Amino acid sequence: MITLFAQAPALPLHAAGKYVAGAYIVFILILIIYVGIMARRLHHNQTEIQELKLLLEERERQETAAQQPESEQVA
Amino acid sequence: MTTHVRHLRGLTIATAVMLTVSLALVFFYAPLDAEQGFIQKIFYIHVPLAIVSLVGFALGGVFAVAYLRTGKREWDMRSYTAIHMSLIFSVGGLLAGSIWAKASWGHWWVWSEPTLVSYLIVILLFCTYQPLRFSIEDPERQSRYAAVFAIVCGAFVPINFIVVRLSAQYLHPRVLNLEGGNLPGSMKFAFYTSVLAIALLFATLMKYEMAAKETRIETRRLRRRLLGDDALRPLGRSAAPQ
Repeated sequence: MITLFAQAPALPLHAAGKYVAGAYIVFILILIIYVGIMARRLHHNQTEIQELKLLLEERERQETAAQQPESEQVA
Repeated sequence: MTTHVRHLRGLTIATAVMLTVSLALVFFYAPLDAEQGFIQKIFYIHVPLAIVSLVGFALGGVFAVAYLRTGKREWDMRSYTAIHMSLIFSVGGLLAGSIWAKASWGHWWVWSEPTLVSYLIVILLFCTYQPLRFSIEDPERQSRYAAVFAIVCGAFVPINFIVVRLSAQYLHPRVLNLEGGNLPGSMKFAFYTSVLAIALLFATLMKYEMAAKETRIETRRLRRRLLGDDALRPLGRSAAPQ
């Protein structure tokens, strides 16, 4: 290892900067891609929950409508 | 609201703060390395990613033991998510290390270097975890077989680490050991902060992943209760716990 580093001395800032930036950008890119996938899944879940909520409201409306004529007949 | 969502906001804020602090320490506090100069800054992202991913793989094995002991589905979910997140982190660590190798050694990859190759073997080993789960249709068997796999491979991680440490040829830099390594104090502080930040990021993303999966399961359960079994689209095969 020591011999390898001796052959490869410290890179000047202008040359090293792009490698350091590259390593950190790769990390941030992976994070962004992951968060993007998670956001897509969340959107899908929200759509499905919204759909279920509408279905539940529709069902409740139908049940109320079915109960009303019955109570009118009793009166 | 599921159990995984608890403390999620606090954890997210703590992670964001720790990541910002660690980046500030790395670039404005830790001194330049005498040998490598500015390029050594990659060390503060590459090593924490590698350490956290390896711990995550081993943790997957520990959660799998808990699953086999209790039979509770949540442990299987934890084991699956830990391995899933570790794979993502290990790819990050591998790419960052490769960039560092190119800058320092002039090569993207050195096949004669035991640390690099053994790390790659661990990653490739865990890459087969998802296909293994996917190939088993029955959820019960899928969880059990995956747990056994996670335990065996999780045990391989520390063994592999020790064997590489004991190997005679060292090409990969050794900056850490049981005595604290040869890092100066300021570098060590920045490094440990980075490890903590990456570990917190791992825990936060793992919790988000589990919360998303639990929500999906709850939504399906709700749909079934509302509309009956016929309203559910067939699940199809999935590597994730059902």
